[in-house]
Amino acid sequence: MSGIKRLGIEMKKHWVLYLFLIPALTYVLIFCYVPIIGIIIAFKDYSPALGFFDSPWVGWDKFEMFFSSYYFWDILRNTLVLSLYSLVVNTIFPILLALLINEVASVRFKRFIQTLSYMPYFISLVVLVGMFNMFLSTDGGFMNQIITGLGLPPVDFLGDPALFSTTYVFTGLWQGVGWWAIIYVGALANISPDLHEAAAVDGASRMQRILHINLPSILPLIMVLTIMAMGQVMNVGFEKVFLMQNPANREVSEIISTYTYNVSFVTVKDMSFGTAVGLFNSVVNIILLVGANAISKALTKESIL
Amino acid sequence: MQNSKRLVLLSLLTVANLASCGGNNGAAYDPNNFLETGDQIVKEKINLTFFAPLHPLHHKDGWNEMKLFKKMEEKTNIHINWQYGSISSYDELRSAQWESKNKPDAFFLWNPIQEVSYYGERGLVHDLTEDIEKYAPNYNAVVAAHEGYDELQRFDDKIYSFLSINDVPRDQTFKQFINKKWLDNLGLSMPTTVEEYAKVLKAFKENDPNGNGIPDEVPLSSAKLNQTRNFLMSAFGFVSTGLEVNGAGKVVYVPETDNYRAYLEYAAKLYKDGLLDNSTFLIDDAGLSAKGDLLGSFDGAAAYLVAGMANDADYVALPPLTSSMNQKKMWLGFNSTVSPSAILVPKSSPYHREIVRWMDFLYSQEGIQLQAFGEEGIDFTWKDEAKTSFTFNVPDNMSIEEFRGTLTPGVGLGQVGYWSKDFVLKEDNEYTGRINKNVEDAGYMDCLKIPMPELVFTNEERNGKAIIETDLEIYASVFEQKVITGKVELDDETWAEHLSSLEKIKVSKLKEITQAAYDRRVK
Repeated sequence: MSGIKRLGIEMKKHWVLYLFLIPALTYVLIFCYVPIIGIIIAFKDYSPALGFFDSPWVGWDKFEMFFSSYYFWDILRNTLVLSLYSLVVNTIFPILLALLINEVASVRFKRFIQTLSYMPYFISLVVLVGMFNMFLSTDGGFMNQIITGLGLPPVDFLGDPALFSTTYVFTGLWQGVGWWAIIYVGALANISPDLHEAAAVDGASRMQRILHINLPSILPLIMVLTIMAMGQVMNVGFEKVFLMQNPANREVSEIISTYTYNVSFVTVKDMSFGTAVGLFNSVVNIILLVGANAISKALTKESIL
Repeated sequence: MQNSKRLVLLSLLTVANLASCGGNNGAAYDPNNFLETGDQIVKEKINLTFFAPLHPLHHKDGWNEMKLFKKMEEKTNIHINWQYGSISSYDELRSAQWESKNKPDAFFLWNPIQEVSYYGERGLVHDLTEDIEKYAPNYNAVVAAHEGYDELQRFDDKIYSFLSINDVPRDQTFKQFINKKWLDNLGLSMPTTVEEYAKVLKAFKENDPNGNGIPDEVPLSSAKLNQTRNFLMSAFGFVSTGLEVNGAGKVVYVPETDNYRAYLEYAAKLYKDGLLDNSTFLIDDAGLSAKGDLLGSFDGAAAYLVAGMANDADYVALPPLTSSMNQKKMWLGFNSTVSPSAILVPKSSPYHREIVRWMDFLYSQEGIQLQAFGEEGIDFTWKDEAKTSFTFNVPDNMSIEEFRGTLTPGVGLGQVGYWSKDFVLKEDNEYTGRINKNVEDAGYMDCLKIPMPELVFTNEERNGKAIIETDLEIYASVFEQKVITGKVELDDETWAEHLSSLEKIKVSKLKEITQAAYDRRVK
């Protein structure tokens, strides 16, 4: 029986369930697929007065503009550094935290730790960056007061180009680690207690059980989340970088999205350019996504596509 | 991120299209309804649809509740259906309106010069040259009374929009403030050269001018050098640190010049000696105001905005400085205070004559008063017979800005039609009065130089310079910061490197493009 025919029969049988699918499909169609048509303005010199269809075609001009930038390689590198650095740190630490939380015996203490660790997730980025600007400032920030109090030279977390990516990544980790750990804590809670009991009977230590039961059990989840994250590598959060930017760290903090923002809204107001860069990002993202998926499939037999 | 942006734009377009269905385009135009003279513009009442920027301070029930437009409707017999675009995304919303099939009868205020020229040349808007000549006596009188305004309103001799005018001196530039109380405490006189200025700052730092025994004074600070760079640069021969036209009508990129090098060396010295605040590149406006009355010198629109109301009187505006490199006093002038941005009438509207007469009211004596401080005798009162000074009657339960929001859209948007010095300067107000006096005493108006007029670029030129401008913006801010903070020592070698970097960013192409646009504009 062919697949399509089988689908037909299935649909007839479970038509109510398929009915429930309609809102989601409509949403994806209207808000994800229809706007894709907008991509054509990347190949046009878009002018609102002439409109979407009558603006002149310019071929690859907007892409060439982007590639011709003196800073093209710098901003590409900055984007990838921030993105991959975050990806690694934001994968490892939430897993560690989840494993630790999972080992806590007292339920109340466990809940307390979990709530405490994901609270910062709800702080607005503007407030968060403002807070860290104060905490980390060399002009009386408490972090530097501690550092100088220990007799060490002050550290310019906000202005030193060499420290920017670390400051960016770890302030992000502080904010998100508890939130990201939730999903792993949930997965760990679902591991059958039989496995642990059997291992304990065989004399496995706590560390051994974490390494050989807990970790392998959540590995599929880790891989899926990592692959999904690879699909977002080029889309480093614009807001936070933009808020943290200052002339001192600009060389390393100028990323694709902030650069596009400057071109599209500040210096020349060119919408076509922004769309072209967005398209470039999407293409790179798809390549990374498919690549990560293939690697994961080959190494761990886990994949999402 | 990308998707959600598109989503927002899409929904905005939809809303905009729905909203514009209620326009006036249905009714047939009756040319005989128009009156050529008198306050009243049409015999039978007409409804026009205007698109305009909305600010949060504006009257909560819409612009028709504002004193200005209430009076105008009474007088002219024209009712305006206002459609608003929030100022936070006005560019996008205005663009969506231009794209819609049912365009409004006019785009009121905030039309960028680039669009005025573009739509004008392509015949998408009415050429108002003849209508203005015939039906706008007040406006013509204002333009005739100011040198250079006539050129500013014309594109190839044609007029597509009224000029939105602000000729109040205090709005033409920024001010550099210095702590007069500290100067007096230390018995110092007002500095006139960069050397004297550095000496004053040094005294501020070392001689405890606020007399509290603690060396807590910050001699000079700024949020990322904001206008302070222009203040320092003007002592060395240019008023800005970007593209500027020199005396010979040639476009110069200032960071390429030796004058810029001198400015950097001077600023780096101030930074190194602790006279220029070492957190300058890290703080924003809030961080600057936090230093409050510990500041010796800073830039801003008014001293109280930075140092606080209580300390406002301690600061005075610093006159332009000179140096051995430049003995001529000069000061930056803003180029957008007079701009043909006030109105555009799309070709689809037949009401161009009516709109021109409606606009002309804004340039009449009564219009000037209404759009600034409301109605004579009610919202403001003359203090003397000769009408040399008036008080603004702000109700007790409202702030000045809130109250002005019930009178005119000018609050939050800058000027409407004409923010006239002949009227505005007569306001009796402690703070604005002090700013006026500061600007006068410092003599900024006598040596004002606009670095570059507002220019119009062709599409090809825009595409050619987009990336160069963005790259230069990044490069210049990084380089300036590195040199001033001492991370890069400025010598002949690093300077040559700097010049070659600028060449790699293709600064000469940018100069070429700008020169062409400048030559077209200033014929």
